[in-house]
Amino acid sequence: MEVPWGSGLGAKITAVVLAATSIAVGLLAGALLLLDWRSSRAMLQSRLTTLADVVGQNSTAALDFSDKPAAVQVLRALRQEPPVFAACLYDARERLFAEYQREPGIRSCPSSRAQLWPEGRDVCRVVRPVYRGDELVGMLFLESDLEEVEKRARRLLLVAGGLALASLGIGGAAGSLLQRRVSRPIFELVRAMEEVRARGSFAMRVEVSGKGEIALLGHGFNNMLLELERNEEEKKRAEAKLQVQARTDALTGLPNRRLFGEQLAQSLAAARRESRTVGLLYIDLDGFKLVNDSLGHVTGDRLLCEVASRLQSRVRQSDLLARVGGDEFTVILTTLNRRGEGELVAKNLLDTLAKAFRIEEHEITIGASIGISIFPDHADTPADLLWQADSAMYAAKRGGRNRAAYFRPELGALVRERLNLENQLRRAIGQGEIQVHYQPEFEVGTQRLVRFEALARWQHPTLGWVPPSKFIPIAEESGLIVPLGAYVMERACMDALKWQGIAPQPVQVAVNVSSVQFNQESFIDEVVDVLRRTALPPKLLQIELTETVMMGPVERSAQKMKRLRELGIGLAIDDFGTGYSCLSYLPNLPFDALKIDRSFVKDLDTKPETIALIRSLVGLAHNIGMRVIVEGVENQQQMDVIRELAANEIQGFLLGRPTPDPMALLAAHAGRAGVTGMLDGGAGEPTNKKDESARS
Amino acid sequence: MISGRRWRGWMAMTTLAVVMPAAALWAQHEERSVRAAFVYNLTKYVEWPHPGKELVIGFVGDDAVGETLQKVLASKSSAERTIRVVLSPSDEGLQQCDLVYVGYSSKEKVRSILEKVRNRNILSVGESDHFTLDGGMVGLVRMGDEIQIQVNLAEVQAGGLKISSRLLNLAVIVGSRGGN
Repeated sequence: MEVPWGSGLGAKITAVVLAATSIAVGLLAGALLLLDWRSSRAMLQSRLTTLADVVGQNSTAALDFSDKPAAVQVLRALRQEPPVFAACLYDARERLFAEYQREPGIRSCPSSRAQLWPEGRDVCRVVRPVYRGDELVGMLFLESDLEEVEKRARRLLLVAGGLALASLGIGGAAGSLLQRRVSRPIFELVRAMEEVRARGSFAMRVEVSGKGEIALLGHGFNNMLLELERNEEEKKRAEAKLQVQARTDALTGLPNRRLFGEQLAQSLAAARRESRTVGLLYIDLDGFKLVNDSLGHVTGDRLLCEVASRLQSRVRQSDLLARVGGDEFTVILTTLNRRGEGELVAKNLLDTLAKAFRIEEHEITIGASIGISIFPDHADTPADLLWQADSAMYAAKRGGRNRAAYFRPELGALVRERLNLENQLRRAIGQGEIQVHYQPEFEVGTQRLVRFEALARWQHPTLGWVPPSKFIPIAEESGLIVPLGAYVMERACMDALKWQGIAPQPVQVAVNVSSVQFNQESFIDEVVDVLRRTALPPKLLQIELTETVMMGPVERSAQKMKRLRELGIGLAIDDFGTGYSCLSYLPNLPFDALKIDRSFVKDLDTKPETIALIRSLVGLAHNIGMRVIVEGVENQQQMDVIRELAANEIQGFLLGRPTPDPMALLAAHAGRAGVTGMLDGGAGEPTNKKDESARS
Repeated sequence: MISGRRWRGWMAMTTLAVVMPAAALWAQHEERSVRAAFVYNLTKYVEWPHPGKELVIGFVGDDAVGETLQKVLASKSSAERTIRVVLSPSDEGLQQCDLVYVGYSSKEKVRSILEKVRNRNILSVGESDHFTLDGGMVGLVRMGDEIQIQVNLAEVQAGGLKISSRLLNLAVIVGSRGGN
């Protein structure tokens, strides 16, 4: 929008008013002067005519009697009339009779009337006949200058000029008044606009009075400001909303990673000022991936919401719970009074998650691994603190899940090692570095070798044997457990088929299946496929699951187990008593065997009350039709006790260490027809060395 | 009013009558013509109490002057009165005149004429330099190149006549010396 006004409005208005005034005054003065000039001339003419007539009358006798001096005398009376500068009296024969000059130097009258000079522009002249009665006796010529008229005109001009000046003054005053009424409001608008621009706020308004166009402009300006202000507010609201959205997890409504980062930095800064201690919990859900994979994202999302609300209910007002990843949460404990408080909170959180979740028709159990790091004990920057909490969380996960762990300096190295190992494991699976070793299991009553448990072993080209306790968690966390498990299962099934001709009775193979692997949608199909390819009868395969399989969608897991059982495959629960040890679900699941964790056996030496525990476990298992397998039997005393406890099968270094070549053992066993000696009490293969668990 | 044609006629005559005496030449007949014109013009500045249709001018004195008068003034009119010039009228005829021009210069002759016209509404005009002093009303006295008009106002008033002030402006006013 262009406003085609170069200079100020005020100056413009004043100029216009002045110009209009000048033109009006000029025209008026001009017209007056012209009219007056004309009327003055006319008056002069008329006066001269009268004068000429009077003088003529007074000259008649002089003419009649040729009395020139008398005529001169009469003409001299014209001295009383200053404008008249020349008079010529001619007789009836048009010859000069008498003349008059106002002052010397004025040209004298010509002797004949016919020779009179032409009338100039700046003179007024009359030529009047002189009558005596009816008789023409002469001719009087009068010429007057216009000085009087001009003087009058000058005076008039002066007056007009004065009036014009006065008018201009009044016009100027009127202009400035008009300007004040027109342009001052506009200037105020301009000033208001400047202020709006300078302050960047649309909150101000101009004061508007009256009803004129300027007032309309003012109202329009105010309305525009109002509109702008509304837009601005809307924008601000939208921005604020975006701010909130940008810092809020859309699913759970919790602060997101970004807001968490900001809050953590603030908390640390505040804590540094006030010499306070801040705790950071890094929570990773155990088994959430299984839920997501098996029940779908919708259910997974709902579960996350439930988890979030439960966690929130256990977090203090001053603490900040945030969701920083898919199934990862953090809690900033802004004020820690005691060092142990972090663990307390973590325990509290684990407790609240322990109760099964009910999502739609699914009952879902979920755990969490929590890493704890403390400012300023462990780190003094937000990034380090977070990294350390994360490391501690991994440590907790590796430590058996569903627990909390403090950060320890060596965890940093652990995490690095983990990353390194993960990459190497990925390669190892493809390059045959993974071997399958077998550890025998015997039936207590018959002392027969009933089964080999397949155990994955990793022979690293430079590190040598990598313990399963190191690489299995990594495989589980990275998902490498799926190809690893599939490889072990296929290998085990192939090997198991070879055993059958050697032993007098069928020998089962037990394959450990990680819950990650088990929860794969295609798990059943893959098992069926392996059995078909290897031609191993399903009843010779026993799949061992850990308690972590109970985390996540219990029904779905139960269905899968049923399907396996329908195929004829044996199903054992492994490492029982370490994890959730929730006995309530056992009757509902189609396990046909229960493997008591080696830790119970280990405690037998030191804690005699363990016997009762194992006894009741065995009783319970038997009651619901499950066999009981005891693992980790390492010495004769343990062996004796277990035999007392009526466990069905046993496994341990005392009876046989994992071996890459089970055929030899099988052959030897077949040859000796059992390990009766050992079972009876003879230490056939003494085991002093405490090795890592055979669990894979 | 007078028509254009008559106006031109008047102009011609007046010019003849008035301007001639102003000429530079001063000859005898010129002077006589001037005097005739003066007399004629004089009639226009005098008001008679009972003006008749005719304006009778009686002439006594030198015949040459009288002839010139007759020649110049005959059948002219002044103020709508036809001028009739009577040369050397009888005493009775003299008293019928409205204006008597006395061409004599001798005191006795002038006085005898004036005696006859006194108090009779007759304008007496003379040419001797003491005419007005002798009881005449208007004297047309030659003074060098000019003719001076002398007026004896007392006589004029006594004769019941009025002379225009414009004429009086030009005239030298004199009083009667001795006489009646």
